[in-house]
Amino acid sequence: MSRIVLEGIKKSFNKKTHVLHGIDLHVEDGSFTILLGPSGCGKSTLLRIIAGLERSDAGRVIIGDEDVTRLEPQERDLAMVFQNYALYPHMNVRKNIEYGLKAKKIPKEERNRRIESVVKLVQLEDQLEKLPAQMSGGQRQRVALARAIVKRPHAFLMDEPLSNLDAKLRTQMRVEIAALHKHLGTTFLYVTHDQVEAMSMGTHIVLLNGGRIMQQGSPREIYTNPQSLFVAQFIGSPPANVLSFGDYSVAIRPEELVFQPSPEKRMTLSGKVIAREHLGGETLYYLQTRYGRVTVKGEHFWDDTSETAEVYFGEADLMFFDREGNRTQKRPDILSAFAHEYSRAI
Amino acid sequence: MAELTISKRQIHWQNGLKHLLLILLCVFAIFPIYWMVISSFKGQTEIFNNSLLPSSFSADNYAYALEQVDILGMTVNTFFMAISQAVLQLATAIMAAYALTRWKFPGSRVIYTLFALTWLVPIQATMIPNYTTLVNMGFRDSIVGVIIPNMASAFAILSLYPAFKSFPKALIEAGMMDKMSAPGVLFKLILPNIKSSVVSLGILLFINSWNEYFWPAMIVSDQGQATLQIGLRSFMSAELTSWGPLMAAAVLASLPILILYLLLQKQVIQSFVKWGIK
Repeated sequence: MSRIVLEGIKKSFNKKTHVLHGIDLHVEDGSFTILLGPSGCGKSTLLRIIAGLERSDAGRVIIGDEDVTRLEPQERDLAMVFQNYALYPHMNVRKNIEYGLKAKKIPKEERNRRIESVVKLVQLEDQLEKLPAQMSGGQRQRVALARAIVKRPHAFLMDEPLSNLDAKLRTQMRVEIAALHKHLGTTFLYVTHDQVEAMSMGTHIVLLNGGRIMQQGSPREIYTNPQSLFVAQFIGSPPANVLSFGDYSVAIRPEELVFQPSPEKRMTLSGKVIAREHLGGETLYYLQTRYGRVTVKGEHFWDDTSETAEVYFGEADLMFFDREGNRTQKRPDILSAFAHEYSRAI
Repeated sequence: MAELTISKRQIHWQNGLKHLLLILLCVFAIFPIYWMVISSFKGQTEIFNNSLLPSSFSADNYAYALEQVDILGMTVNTFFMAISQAVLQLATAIMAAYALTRWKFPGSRVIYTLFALTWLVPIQATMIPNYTTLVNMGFRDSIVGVIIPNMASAFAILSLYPAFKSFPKALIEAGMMDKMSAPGVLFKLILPNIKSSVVSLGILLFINSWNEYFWPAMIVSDQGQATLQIGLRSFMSAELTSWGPLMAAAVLASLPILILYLLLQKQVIQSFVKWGIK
């Protein structure tokens, strides 16, 4: 059992800066759970509290069936991958990977066997004698992963492990870490501010803001059914467009806006095209409409240079939020008023 | 083109001047040592004349010096004192710097400030209380009495503090996740990575201890426990100073440190540069 349960975790620094306001969380055994949120939301602090590197002011941390709140990091049997890799600079790759096993007093033969299999897994077979300083960022990241994997911990904690890599390597490592999780089947708890990483790797996403959990669920649930305006605007690349409508905010995903009307998409917005970003497979259009700036993700028209555009959308594409930013039902009267406002052009 | 030639010539001049200055400084530094060496070979009659070389090289001064005082025994005493002090000062400095940088505990800033303040207190202010305490403890005339009050050095603590402070916190945390204990983090992780700082500080502490005169002279009067620096004093008295044998003994006293310097030249210079001391 390697589930992680948090109950009422609170943390403040210097008794003034409140970072976490009572977090309750249940991380399923074997899940790939992502702690996602903007910088300063408390996600790294939460991870560090689970690791034991930080003490919470209140609440309990339970790993498996054991309450580890008062235990030192050494006693929690977790492995952590750090943002800057934190490899021991004076030890070569083999010794870096081996140290945790030595500390666990695992016999030499077993150590060698484990090291051999883990370096094969992260493709570092021919790098064992190198020092971290002689390796590239990507290789160091693999060593950090190997050092964690070889210990066979209850769970893996990862604190933005890909943020120091270049974009191409990051994409590659994303795939590899997801595959690794599948292979190992152990609980992964992964902190990131990058929603693309969260969506592409996680089986469960916990979205934090201002020290509180805003929403949690599968990537699909979070994306298709955001419970607050914050979630709608945080998740998605680019994020959802938000139009003001009286006391309400209405969000529409950029990919739901199309350039051709259809029976399902009868409402419309028109505006001036202020920029186009050709991404190859698709194009982002930025429109200035009388209701605000709107992003459209659509197929590309390389030669299109028109200065204005009309986009269409339907009722099913709309998400309504109240004045506090919480998701509300689509009340028929509001919907028809909205449809009326946005259907004039048709 | 003309301008280029002028600027080249200027550079030549500047370099020449710089070298002249360096040569002068070298002469200032080397001349006393040279004078000590040639004086040790001069006879009693020519010791005070200004000749740069003795009329004949005589080893009489060395024979007399070795006969008068137990130079070998004093060298052993000095090594024992200097090595013990350097090792103990390093050990206490490492533990103090580690504790001060690793844990947040009430009063840590005060303790650090007190360390800094004790560094400013001159030996003259502490020698009497130290002396009476050690005499009461029965350490008069003992090399151990020389060492005890010098077991910790505020300078050493303040010198190591930045090296510990700048050690990456994530590395320590990675060590903790790998089940390293607090001493484990210190000995297996931090020290191997800051060993050049520790070694260079160790060299400096050793040389400082080796050169110490005032405190050993206060505590030790027994020749059997004396260090080389005290031994040299026995050639001086109110009536007569035997300059020839004194110089010979001084040459012998400087030899070990000179040999050490030649062996560890690079490290010694590095440590002087590192801690900004000459």
